[in-house]
Amino acid sequence: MNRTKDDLELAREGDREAFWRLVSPHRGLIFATALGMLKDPEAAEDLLHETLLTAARSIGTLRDLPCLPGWLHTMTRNLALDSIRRQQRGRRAMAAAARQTQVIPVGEWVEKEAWLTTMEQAIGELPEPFRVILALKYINEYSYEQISRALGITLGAVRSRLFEARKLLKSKTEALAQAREAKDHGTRTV
Amino acid sequence: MERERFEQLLADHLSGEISASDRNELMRYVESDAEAHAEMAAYEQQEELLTRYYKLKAERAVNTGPEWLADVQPAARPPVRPLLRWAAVAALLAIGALSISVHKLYRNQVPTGTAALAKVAQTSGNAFVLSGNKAEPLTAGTPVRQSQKIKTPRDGYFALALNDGNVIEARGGTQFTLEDLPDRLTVVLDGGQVWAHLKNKPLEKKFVVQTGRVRATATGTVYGVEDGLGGTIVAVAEGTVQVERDGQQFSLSAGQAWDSRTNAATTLAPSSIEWSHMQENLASLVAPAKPEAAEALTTMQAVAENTNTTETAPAQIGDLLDLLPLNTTIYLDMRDLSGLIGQFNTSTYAMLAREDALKRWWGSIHGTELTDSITTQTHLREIMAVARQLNGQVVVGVLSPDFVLLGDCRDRRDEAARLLGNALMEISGGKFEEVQRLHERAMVADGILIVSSNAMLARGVVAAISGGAPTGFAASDFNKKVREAVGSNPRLVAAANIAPWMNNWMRDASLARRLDFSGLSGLDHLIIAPGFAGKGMNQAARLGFAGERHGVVNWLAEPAPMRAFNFFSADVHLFASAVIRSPRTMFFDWLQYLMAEKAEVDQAAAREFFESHAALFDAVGSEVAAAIDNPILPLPNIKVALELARPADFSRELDLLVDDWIARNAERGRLAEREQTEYQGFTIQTLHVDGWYLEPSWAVVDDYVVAGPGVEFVKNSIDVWQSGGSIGKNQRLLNLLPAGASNVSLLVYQDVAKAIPVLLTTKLAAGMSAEQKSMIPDLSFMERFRAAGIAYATARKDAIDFYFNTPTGIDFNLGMAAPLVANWLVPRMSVSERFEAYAQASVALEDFAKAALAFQAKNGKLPGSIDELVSGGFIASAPADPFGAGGSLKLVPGPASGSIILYSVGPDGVDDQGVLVADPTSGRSEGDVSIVLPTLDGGPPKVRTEQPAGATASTQ
Repeated sequence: MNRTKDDLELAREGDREAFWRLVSPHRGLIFATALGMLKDPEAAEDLLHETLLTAARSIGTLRDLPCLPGWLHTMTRNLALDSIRRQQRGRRAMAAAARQTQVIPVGEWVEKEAWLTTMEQAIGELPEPFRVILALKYINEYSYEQISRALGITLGAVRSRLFEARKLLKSKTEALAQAREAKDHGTRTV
Repeated sequence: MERERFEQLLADHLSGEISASDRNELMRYVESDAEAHAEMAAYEQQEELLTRYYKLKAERAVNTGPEWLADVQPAARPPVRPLLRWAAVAALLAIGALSISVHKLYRNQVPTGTAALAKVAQTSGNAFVLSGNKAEPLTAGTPVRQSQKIKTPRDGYFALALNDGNVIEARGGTQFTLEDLPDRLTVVLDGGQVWAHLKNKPLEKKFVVQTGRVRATATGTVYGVEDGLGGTIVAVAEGTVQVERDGQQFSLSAGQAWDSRTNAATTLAPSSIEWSHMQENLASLVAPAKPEAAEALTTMQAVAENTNTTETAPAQIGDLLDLLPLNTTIYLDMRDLSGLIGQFNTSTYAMLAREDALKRWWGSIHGTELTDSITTQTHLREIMAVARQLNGQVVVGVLSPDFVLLGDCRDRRDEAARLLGNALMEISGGKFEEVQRLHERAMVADGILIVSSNAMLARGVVAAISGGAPTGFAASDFNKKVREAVGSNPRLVAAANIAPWMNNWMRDASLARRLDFSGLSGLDHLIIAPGFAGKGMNQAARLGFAGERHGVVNWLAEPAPMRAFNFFSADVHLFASAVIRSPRTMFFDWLQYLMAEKAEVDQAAAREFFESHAALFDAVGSEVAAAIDNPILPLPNIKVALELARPADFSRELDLLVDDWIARNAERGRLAEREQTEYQGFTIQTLHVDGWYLEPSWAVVDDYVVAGPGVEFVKNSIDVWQSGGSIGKNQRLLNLLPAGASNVSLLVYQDVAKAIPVLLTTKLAAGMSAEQKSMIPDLSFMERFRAAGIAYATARKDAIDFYFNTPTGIDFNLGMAAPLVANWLVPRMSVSERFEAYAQASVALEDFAKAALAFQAKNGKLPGSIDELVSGGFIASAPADPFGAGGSLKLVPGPASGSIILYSVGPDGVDDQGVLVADPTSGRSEGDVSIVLPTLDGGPPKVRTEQPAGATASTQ
């Protein structure tokens, strides 16, 4: 108890190692939240860094240690929303051009397993709360209790939201697989 | 097994949070059901893929190390809110003055060493020595070395014992450096007053006190030097002193004082020397035997305190507005600061602040500590000390994002400069470089305090003063418009030149459309001043337009007599009435704006709708009024009156419109009907709509249609009109309205503050705990401050003038705020109460469940009734239900065989048999608070909760 409290005080005074000891266990939480919201792992990784930088600068505003996971989660969400807004602004202008220039490298395409493509697409289509909770569960291997604390929802809600996410994901992956099969079949017969 | 149970078990299984018993149950089930088995297998396969997928995605990211954080430093935890901090800095800059050092010209000689030159012999207050960027306190015995800057706060004092045994005294507010040069020991005086007692031992070197202008050299004597921006004074108590200034040299002997401004020596008068801690020594010097010495000291002090009475700023700078840059867009001009402060000190705001009850309450919630903390952290005392030296015109100009403040302190320039020096030193925490940086933006030049956010601006003002070249802002077009409205020498004016901003905003096409519709695109300037109010009103504002008004702001018509008063009772809390231009044009403008970006077919439909009901709009007159009674009641007690040009046409057209609306709703399955009620010879129409909380009612009375949220409100309006006891007869309002002022474009009357005691004693306090009640201040004294307020406006072609009358000062503002605060508070208090009861119910249920489990442990089954628990001695009696209005918690059989539900009826008091689960965060009251036994996971009993939709993560 004393050690962690000391770390917070040290971090407030600019001790980088102390700050790292505090936030390091929560990198998964940040990444999971970021990935859940942004869908893109690279963007989520960037956001992880951005969040940690922001947290390092504003650690002085953190009231108490138990608030840390919620604080980081909220900070990640806000930064992700900012990022999405920025992307949307740029996206509108670039949309047409992007459609013209989107090229998937052949090598990457071949190497990418079908299941991974399907999973990526299906997860991308899930509502944001589902993406976030799945990321928390599978990246961090959080328990119901830990997810409950991080998201500020009840245990019952964690259980039901997780299962609803799995259910919806299952139906989406099945639908995508069927569509792909149909497409492959069509290609062969034409 | 039911589907729901299967999914629960499956969810826990996939999440790795299933108990052994539940796992057995799940396995038994899937072995017996092939479909369930296949489903579980599919989920397990998905589970594997999900794990692989996220592992791939997260592998790199979460292994990031802390290296890239190397240069990140946390921001300091803000001790006060950023706004306060900003305000503090702005206020400091806004009031500051100059004067830390004007002596750099004599820093061109090489010091001879770093050994201690003196030791502190005596000190009081917080005298300190500046070492690098840090200030270290001076205590007795502290060595003072070469080039160290020594400073005393205003109320401080210290004496230095030189190595040769002589003594130097420094008065409060003094700053100097000791420089040991080959041929002399020098006190470089930045400002303040020092006395040298040089007769204890023969000096090895000459002793010099040097200011920016003057060098005073002595051996074996007692003399004092005072230096400030106004000039330098040298007074000699004993011996002789050589004074050198601008190449001129002359000698002063005991009993003489010399002033650099007059360049003349004077004879001194006897007096005590209050500032000196060496008073006894000096007193002996100024004893009757040497009256001239005492006279010298007295004169020195007297001159120091009235330094600038003979000097004035350049004659060209008559109006400080003429020092503002020409592109200033906002300015505040105060011509009588001390008068305004005096006026504020006698206002009801100040009286309210002195109210004992309020002070007690403020103290009880630790507000005093907060105030003290803010005062200290914002250096308010130092800032106010400078502000008190401003006794002429004060002007603040804004050229977004910068500002410049100018204050006339020509009568007290030295004191202002000295105090600003103190303030800058205090706020910079003794960091000398910081003081110098601030000094570039805060200074006193020729008796004018200049403070700016931008050093360039400050330098520009100094150049204008020293060059005698005003900027000409006072004669600018913008300022001319202001002067036309407020006269040539107003006490207080705030003005904004809006045209340049508007030109910028109009470049944004979507914003331009909105500005054009609102008519704000034509806004040219805003003036707020008491000066042009007139008619007994004490505050006024003008919105000036470039050319004629258009758009929404043009809906307000020129002044006309108001008659809608007659329908509202004399004790309304809030009343507003406006004269509008043309209802038809108004509605059409609005419709066009709304439909501008819609499809052509929709626009055509809207136009058709409008044209088909144009007769209704044509029947409307020009006055529209609304009033609110008791705004804190849950039912919005709002009444409306609308003037009619053709009452009969209006009634007919409105009936047609309403019937048409009812028919359209019927087609969609929503039931609505119109009901007629006869009352006092008038027909009141009421609209009943399925699902609507309110029932809109209206009646045509005289040349007005009066309306309200229920038939009783309309009846009340008719009663008021017939009785003649309306707000139009309210003496309180009539006293506020100047004669003839009911002939206006807009009128707002309020007496909302009277709702406060009602709010506290009935609405809020009824549901509060004793602790909460104890936090409410005793506001009975408010009755003495309460008064009604009015505001009205007159519209002209190119301007709208607003007038306010607030006889006791606080009510208009406070009254407006009260219902907002009340409405904000009331639902929160209710939620708080519900949470408290919810918590009580949860605790009671958990105890209840423990008793049931104890029963199970003993009897091998859960109890079938509360009686079994009581008779078995597990509980003394049926536990009370916090929501149950005297009833007890309940026990019923659960959904599974052998299970039970323990529950409270919940916030709504309705018994849902524990099935519908309450959610304390949803704001709704339905549902029960319950516990199911046995628990799903075999763990301890938990109160069931329902997660509200859209719940978000908690934040700190």
